[in-house]
Amino acid sequence: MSKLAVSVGSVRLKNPVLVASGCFGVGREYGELFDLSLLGGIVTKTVTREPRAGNPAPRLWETPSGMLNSIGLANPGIEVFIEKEIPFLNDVGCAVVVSIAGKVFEDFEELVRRLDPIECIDAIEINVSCPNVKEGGLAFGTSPETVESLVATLRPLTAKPLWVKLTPDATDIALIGRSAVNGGADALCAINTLTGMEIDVGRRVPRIGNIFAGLSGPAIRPVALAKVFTLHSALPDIPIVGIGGISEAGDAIAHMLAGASAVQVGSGIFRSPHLPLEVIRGIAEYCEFFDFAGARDITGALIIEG
Amino acid sequence: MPVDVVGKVTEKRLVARDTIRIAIDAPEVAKDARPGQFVMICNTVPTFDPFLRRPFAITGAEWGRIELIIRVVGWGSALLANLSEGGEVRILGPLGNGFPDPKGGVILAAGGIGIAPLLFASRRWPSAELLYGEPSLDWVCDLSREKFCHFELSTDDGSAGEKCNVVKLLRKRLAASPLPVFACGPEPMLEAVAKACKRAKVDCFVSLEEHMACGVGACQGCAVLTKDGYKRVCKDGPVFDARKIEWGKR
Repeated sequence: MSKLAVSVGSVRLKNPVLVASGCFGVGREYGELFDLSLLGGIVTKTVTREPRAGNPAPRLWETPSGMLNSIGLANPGIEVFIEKEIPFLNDVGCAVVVSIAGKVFEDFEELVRRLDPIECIDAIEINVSCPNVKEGGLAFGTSPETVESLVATLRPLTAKPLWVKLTPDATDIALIGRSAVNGGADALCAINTLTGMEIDVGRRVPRIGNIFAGLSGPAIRPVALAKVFTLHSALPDIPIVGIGGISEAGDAIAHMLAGASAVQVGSGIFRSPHLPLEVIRGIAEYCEFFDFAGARDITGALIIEG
Repeated sequence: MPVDVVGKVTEKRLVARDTIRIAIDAPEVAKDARPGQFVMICNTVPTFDPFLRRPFAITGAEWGRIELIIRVVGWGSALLANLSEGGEVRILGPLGNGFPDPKGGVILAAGGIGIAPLLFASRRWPSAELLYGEPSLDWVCDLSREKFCHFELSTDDGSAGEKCNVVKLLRKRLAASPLPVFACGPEPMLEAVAKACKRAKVDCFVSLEEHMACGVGACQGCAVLTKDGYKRVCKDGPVFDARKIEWGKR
């Protein structure tokens, strides 16, 4: 087994670096820039039961060391996704995690049923943390009861690992994480974007068409690390996938030291398309330099003195 | 196919108020670039503020160099305009679709910094005619090194060229002889250009501008509403058939 190989529950990854949902499509565009099979895995843009056009423009605004986005889960729907994107994902040569979202439980159930028989899918990421949709996003992800009952509803429908992507907007992320695990989640992904807003004071209008948007980028890294550490401390046996503000290898290593078994690189890719590969290389060098037998040994290796 | 490389700034000069023209040594980007395509650039310094790259239309792609015209409109462009000769930038491109090959003559209508992609078009298609409008003389880019088969200038205050906007120049030109139009500039101008072309019954292709994050079509952040639904300015554009755009709608 390669030094870089890690496991997230039963999902084996050739290295701990995945690309985060919404930042990479299914990989077609960035696949023109580098070999996707070098990645630990791809988490697809969230797919929903019906096609979604997405939110009104403007959808983006840059903020200090970060960005706001309110895309609104624009996607062609599960039917087209299976027909057009699955054949592509079948050949990417890395782990494939399909992100799903819905307005009601039945949407999630239908999505899991449709994805369950597809062999190339290694795990399903349940997105209950999108700040840019009215129903099913934060409304689900901030309620421990809803998260537990949603995951419990989906659990019997597939043998594939269920990852639950958590919002940093919840008052107590460990409570939500524990609820997901009680429902049958195999891993927790943290964090999704933080709800944010910007205002054009001259025109007295919000910068984003949908008013609210999700904050990502280096600005949120400290928040993400705190959430990963909180989850790992509360649920030491549950694999965590660390997401948030990864812009260089050291950021990914920080996530792993805080307790993440793997990481997802998100909007940092927009600045540096080759970032996932740089992070993979950096993790290998870190293991070498600090005598870690393998990347998996970095997980939770944070030293807390006193 | 786009590439992401580090390129050296080989030339830099001030061409108008708050506006510089730079040449970046990037043969891999330059070799397949076509007019209307763009690049995403950022500084090479490992800092993340500003976080995102900035999109710039390609003004020239000859001798392995990418030429850009950068007008300072905010912090990101200000930092890039501060680059000096010999400095380096990260450059991702060429991106987007570009203008279609004109079958014969074509009129290029440029509003303000919209001149950037149209200079490339005028070099690639020498029979193209250029109409260029700016608010006043100090904003007019120095084009003394360019050759045009036909060139008209307008300024809003009449300090250079004709005292009118570029759409008026275009209407007059189309009345004389209708030709297809390639346009780039602020959205209200493009909408007016689209209307003028519709009235003159000529094809019109517009290069749109939008805030971008990825620039390659992955994030869907630069959405524009068209008659076929939302399209990505970076990947499905930036050049669109003007008849397809839902002007003024978000």
